[in-house]
Amino acid sequence: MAEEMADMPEPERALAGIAAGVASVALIENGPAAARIVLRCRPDVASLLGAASGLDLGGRINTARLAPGCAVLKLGPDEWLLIAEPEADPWLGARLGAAAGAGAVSIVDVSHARGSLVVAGPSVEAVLAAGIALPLTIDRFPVDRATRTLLGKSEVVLWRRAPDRFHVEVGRSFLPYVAEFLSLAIAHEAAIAALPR
Amino acid sequence: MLQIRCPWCGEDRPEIEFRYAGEAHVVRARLPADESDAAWAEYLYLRTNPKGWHAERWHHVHGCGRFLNAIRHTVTDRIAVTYKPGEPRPTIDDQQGPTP
Repeated sequence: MAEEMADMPEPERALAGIAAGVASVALIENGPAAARIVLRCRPDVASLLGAASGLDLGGRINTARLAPGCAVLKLGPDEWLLIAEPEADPWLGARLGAAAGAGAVSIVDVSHARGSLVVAGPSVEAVLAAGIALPLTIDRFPVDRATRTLLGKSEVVLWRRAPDRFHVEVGRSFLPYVAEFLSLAIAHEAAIAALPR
Repeated sequence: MLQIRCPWCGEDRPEIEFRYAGEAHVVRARLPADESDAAWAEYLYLRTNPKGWHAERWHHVHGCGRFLNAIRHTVTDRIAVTYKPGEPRPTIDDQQGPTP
C-alpha cells in the first residue's frame, strides 16, 4: 500500500522541477489545502438541503458562491462542488448528512482525488487560453464564474477568483501535466512579449 | 471548432467539451421480451441516417455533465437548435437551412 501511494503525485509537489512562471506574465502556485465534497441531488431537494445545512445552493449554473469557510461551485443543474478549509471536512459532511433526510442525495468526499493550482498575473487570460477553448475575457468569464472544462487534454474546474487570478481544480494524477502545460504556456507568452516590435 | 449551445448551461460551449451519443428519440420498449425480433432488431441496429436535418443526442461530458438533444444538418454540420431530453423534437423549416 505504501509503495502504491508513493507513486501518486502529491498535490503539494505538482510544481516540483518546473518553472513556476514569469512575474510579468503569470505565476503558478499550489492551491491551498482543502476539503472537497461533490454533492448531487435534484433541485427541489437542494433547496431543502440548502436551508437545513446553511449552504447557499441556489444561484445560476456555472457560478461560485462564498460562504464562511466554504465555497459552493454549481457545476451542473444537479451538481455542486464544495471547497472548504481542511478542518471543515467533518462538520461539513455532518451538516450535509444531517440534512440529507430531505430526499435522495449523493455526498462524496473527493478531497484526496483532486489538487489545485492558482494562476495569477497580468497575462493570465492568454496563458489559460493556450489550453482552454472558452472565452476568458472579464466580460464573458467574470469573477466567481466557475465551470468544468478542458485544459489541454485534462478535465479541470476553472474558477475566476479575481480579474487576474484563476483557481484550477485538477484530478490529482493530472496535476503534473497541467502544471507543466501552464509553465510552458507562460514561457511562450514571455517569449512573445520579449520579441522586438 | 463548433460552438454548441448547451440548454442546461444556457450558453455556447466549445465542441471538445461534448461527446456524440447517437440518434435522439429512439425509444426503448418497456418490455423488450414482448417485442418481436424484427422490432427489437430495429431498436438495436436501425437508424434513420438522413442526408439533412438529424435529431441526435450529445453529452456535455466536460461541462455540466448532462445530455442534450440537437438538430444538426449532416451535410453542413450546422446545428439549428438544441433542447433538453424529454422535450418534443422541434420542426425545422428547411427554408432556413444552409445550402450545402
